[in-house]
Amino acid sequence: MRNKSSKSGKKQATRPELPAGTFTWINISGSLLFTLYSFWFLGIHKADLMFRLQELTLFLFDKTFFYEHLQSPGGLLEYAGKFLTQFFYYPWLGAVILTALLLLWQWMLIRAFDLPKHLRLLSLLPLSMALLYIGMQEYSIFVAKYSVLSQLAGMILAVLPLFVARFLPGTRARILILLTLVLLGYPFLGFYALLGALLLWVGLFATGRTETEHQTKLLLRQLLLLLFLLAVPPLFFLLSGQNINPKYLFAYGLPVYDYPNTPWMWTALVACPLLLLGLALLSFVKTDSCRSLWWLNPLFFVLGITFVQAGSYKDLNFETQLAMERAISHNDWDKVLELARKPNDNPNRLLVIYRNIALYNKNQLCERMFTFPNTDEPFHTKNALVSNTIVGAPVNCFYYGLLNYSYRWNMENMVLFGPRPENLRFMMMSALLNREMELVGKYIHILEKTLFYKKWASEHRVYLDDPALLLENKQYKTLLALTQYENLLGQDQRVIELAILNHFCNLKSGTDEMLEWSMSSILTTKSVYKFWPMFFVYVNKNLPLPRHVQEAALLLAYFEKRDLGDLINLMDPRVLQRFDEFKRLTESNTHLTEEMLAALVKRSFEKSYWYYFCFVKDLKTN
Amino acid sequence: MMSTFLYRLWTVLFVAALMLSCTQTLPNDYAELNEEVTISPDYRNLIIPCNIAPLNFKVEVSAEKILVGIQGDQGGSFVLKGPKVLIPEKKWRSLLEANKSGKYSVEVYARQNGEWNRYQPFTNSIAADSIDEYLSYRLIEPSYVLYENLCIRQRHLGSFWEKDIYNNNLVSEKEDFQCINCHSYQNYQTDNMQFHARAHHAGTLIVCDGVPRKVNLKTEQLISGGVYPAWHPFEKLIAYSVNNTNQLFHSKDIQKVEVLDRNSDLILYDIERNQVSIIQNDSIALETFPAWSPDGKTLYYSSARFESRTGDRESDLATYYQEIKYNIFSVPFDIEQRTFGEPRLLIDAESIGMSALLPRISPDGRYLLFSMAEYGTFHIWHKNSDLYLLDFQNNTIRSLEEVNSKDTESYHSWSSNGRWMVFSTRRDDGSYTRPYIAYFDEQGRAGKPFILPQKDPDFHLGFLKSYNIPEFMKEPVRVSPRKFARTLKGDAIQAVMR
Repeated sequence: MRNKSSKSGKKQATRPELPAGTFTWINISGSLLFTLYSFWFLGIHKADLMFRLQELTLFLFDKTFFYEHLQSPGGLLEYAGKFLTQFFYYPWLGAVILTALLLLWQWMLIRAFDLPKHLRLLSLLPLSMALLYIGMQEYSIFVAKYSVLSQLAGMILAVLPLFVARFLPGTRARILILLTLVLLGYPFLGFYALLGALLLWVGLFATGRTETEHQTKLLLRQLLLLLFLLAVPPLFFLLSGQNINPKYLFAYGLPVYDYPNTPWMWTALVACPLLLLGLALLSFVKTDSCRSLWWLNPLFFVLGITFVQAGSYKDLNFETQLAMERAISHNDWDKVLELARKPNDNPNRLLVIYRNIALYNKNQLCERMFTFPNTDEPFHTKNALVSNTIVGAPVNCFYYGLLNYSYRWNMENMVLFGPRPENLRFMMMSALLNREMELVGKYIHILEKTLFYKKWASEHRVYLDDPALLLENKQYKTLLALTQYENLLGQDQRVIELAILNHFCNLKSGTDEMLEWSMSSILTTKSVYKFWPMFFVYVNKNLPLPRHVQEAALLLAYFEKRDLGDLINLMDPRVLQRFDEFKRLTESNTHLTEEMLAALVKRSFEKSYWYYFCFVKDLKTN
Repeated sequence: MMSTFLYRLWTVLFVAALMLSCTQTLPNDYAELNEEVTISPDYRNLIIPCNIAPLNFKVEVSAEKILVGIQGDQGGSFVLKGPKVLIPEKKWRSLLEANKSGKYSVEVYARQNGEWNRYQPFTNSIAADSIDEYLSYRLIEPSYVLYENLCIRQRHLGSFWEKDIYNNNLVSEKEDFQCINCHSYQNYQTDNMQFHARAHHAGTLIVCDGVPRKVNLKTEQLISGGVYPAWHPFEKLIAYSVNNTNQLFHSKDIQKVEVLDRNSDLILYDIERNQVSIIQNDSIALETFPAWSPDGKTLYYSSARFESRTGDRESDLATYYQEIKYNIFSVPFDIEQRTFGEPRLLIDAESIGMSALLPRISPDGRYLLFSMAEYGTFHIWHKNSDLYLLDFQNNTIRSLEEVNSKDTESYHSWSSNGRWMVFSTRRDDGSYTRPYIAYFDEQGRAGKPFILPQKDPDFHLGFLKSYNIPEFMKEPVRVSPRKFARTLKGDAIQAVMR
């Protein structure tokens, strides 16, 4: 067959012929490069995101767990998505598996849609939409009910019937597959079964058109098949007895609950089926290999990667949060501080809390907490469900020793989003420190059915037999020391940071471990009247005065005209000298407006409590 | 011909081999261990109904192989493999039928280090008294404030069949979720039943003679719509408490949650007239948890007195919550006139520093079963809550030690023949409520309670929801979940004040 382009134009006629195998070379290179890109994207670039997704997605090797997922259409996809997600416990492993799946899918796409050589890398566009959907994930992951990878499973499985149909001769076999897919596939794959059937339907239409089938007969057949496709979900609703919400009859399997106020999150999910339909429609236009269009394949490759890169969610706070949370999962407090040190003028409160927890664990809380920015940047999402409390309370409360609150918010999360490994882990640890051993046993039993938390859970069985061993675990020992407070009946009003700060501000007594949290809370809330009693606890216990405590004492004594007397000897001379400089600067610039003075002081004293106390105002500690 | 013959021969041999491999025999050569075997759930030394589902269990011993022999005193025996002992339903039913009023024994053999050992056998008695065929409950996480996927389910007690009565997924939308609670039935029949929906498509769903309707019981005069219901045993009347409820959280106490009523009263709803009338609305008293006597002439309820000390009732409730102690009262009811007489203090729990809730009268009218803990109105969160029994015949109250545990016992119901009780307890793990069933004999003694049987013996261990409000029913609910959903999506009938 002659190349169309070779017929037309003088210029083209003079173009040298591409050597044989050029397309193969381009296509293989494109696929390989995309494979490498996919691995980099999932296993390195988005490693923290993928790790967090697996912490928020539970998969159990358990029959009941499987059956639970078959309660509504699309449930099997959710099951498959959760199965895949668990491997991101090791992001590189998850990336290998997912990349292999994507590669397999690309091959299926090429075969299923019979893509000509010069359009083969068109198959990368659906893949890039799958990656884009992952890349677009933002704060909604914390409040999502559906597994992100269930969509990828759906996309792959939607193409599978068409792929299989290519190997079957005759129209009847394909019709049979379509009917079977809709009838048997809908209960398991929901929307994606219908999409798969629609792809087959388009294929049948195209084939019928080119064959010598009678046009009226063809149209009638197609109409009947389409009606059948549309009729199955309502019929399933009427006959199955499953508790299905009729409103979502055609959308089961899609994350219909997950993106309130964030419709753009649907971009990739809408684009991918449209692309697949586009590929199916290609069969209406018989396209032979066209060597002059060799540039199309590289273009598709570039487009695919551009879509993913340009469309992925980029937010410094979000990325830092994911990385910090991953580090916290591994008790790597140095890593948390390393992330906190990265230039970021506007961390959100969650990052501030994580950083403080890390500082506390490194015994540097009141020494360094104001050397970092203390801001209250909101979460950059329109998803109204995302809040500091829903996202952060389950973990934060635990590390503050508020075990009941941690347990509560893990439970509330479980109610809203289903059980997750993270929630089960923290509920287990909270119960363990509360000495609720039967409850611990229950959570261990469940976590032992996971692939990657099994070992961790089993290791905790020793505490069931001998709870005294808890004191030999450094982390648990520290946390137990934070729980030596009187019970209080109250409400956190779903404003968890404020509840934590109030809790520590109001403590009348406690262990040395609790003292630092109390002082840091007093400093954060600027609870002046509570400062001195706590200050004298440090003095009376002969504890070294952390830097910020010294700074606060000097500042408050200055404001209150209090004579510190011999207490001044407890202060670091460098702090005293800096305070003199601070006083001089502020006293000599009283003519400036507050904003101007704040900017001036910030230059030299941004990392002091003085700056925080005087110029950081109206922090929203939610 | 030859191939057909070979095929048939192969099939016969295969089936025979399969049957042989399934037929277990107990070892003849074994050592007798002088210890009882641990099984979970603990289905040892029980009195069980003659129509209960198989009590599948797991043998909690480590062994290379476990064999279990189950044998009825009056016939019927089979051997099963462990550690999970899954009893075939047909064999189980035959065993129960053959040994009604008798016993069956269970022998556990474990091969350990190549040697067979036999643990001390245990026996269970099979009562001739049957249990009501169905049990209903709400499945919900032991949650605090939030809710999402809720369902009220019905379970056939003679098998493992379980089905939704209603599931809130049917009406849930993106950000609008529905809470459902407080299912209740008239005299164990489901043609007259009710439950509440809160938030999305809110209202009280009342089924009257099999026809569901949605009612708004909240009128201007009431502090809330109906909450805790009690169907009159034969009239189309439902007594409700109306409660203004608040939830507070313990920062450290292991009981974690305190549910408090700021205010509560009692009302009567006449279904046919769509009228609400006040039963009790003392502004200082907190009346709640109504329950009718089987003859319908007396209404029982719990009531506590709480006066604000500072004028800030909300704050005082949080401060003095341990001082809120409920007593149980009774009030006579004139069925003809539909009027109530003077309340009478029946159980003065406050005088012994306790709080008595959830009165439930046995079907023969002789006993009043209630739960009692040190304080408060929501005993499911109180670890020291136990079940107590008042015997009207000799006017004595005793702790039902036979069924109580060191953890919570709370919501309880009698079976229609009065021989069985089901109650909520957190004895297994302290958090997830499970329904336990116990026999109750003619002398007023209860048998050892046992957990609702499940096909998989590990089910309860892995299940992350609580069983809320276990209620017996003689028959399944026939109104479909979708019909309930359609009714709830419609407009509510506004109840009027009498």
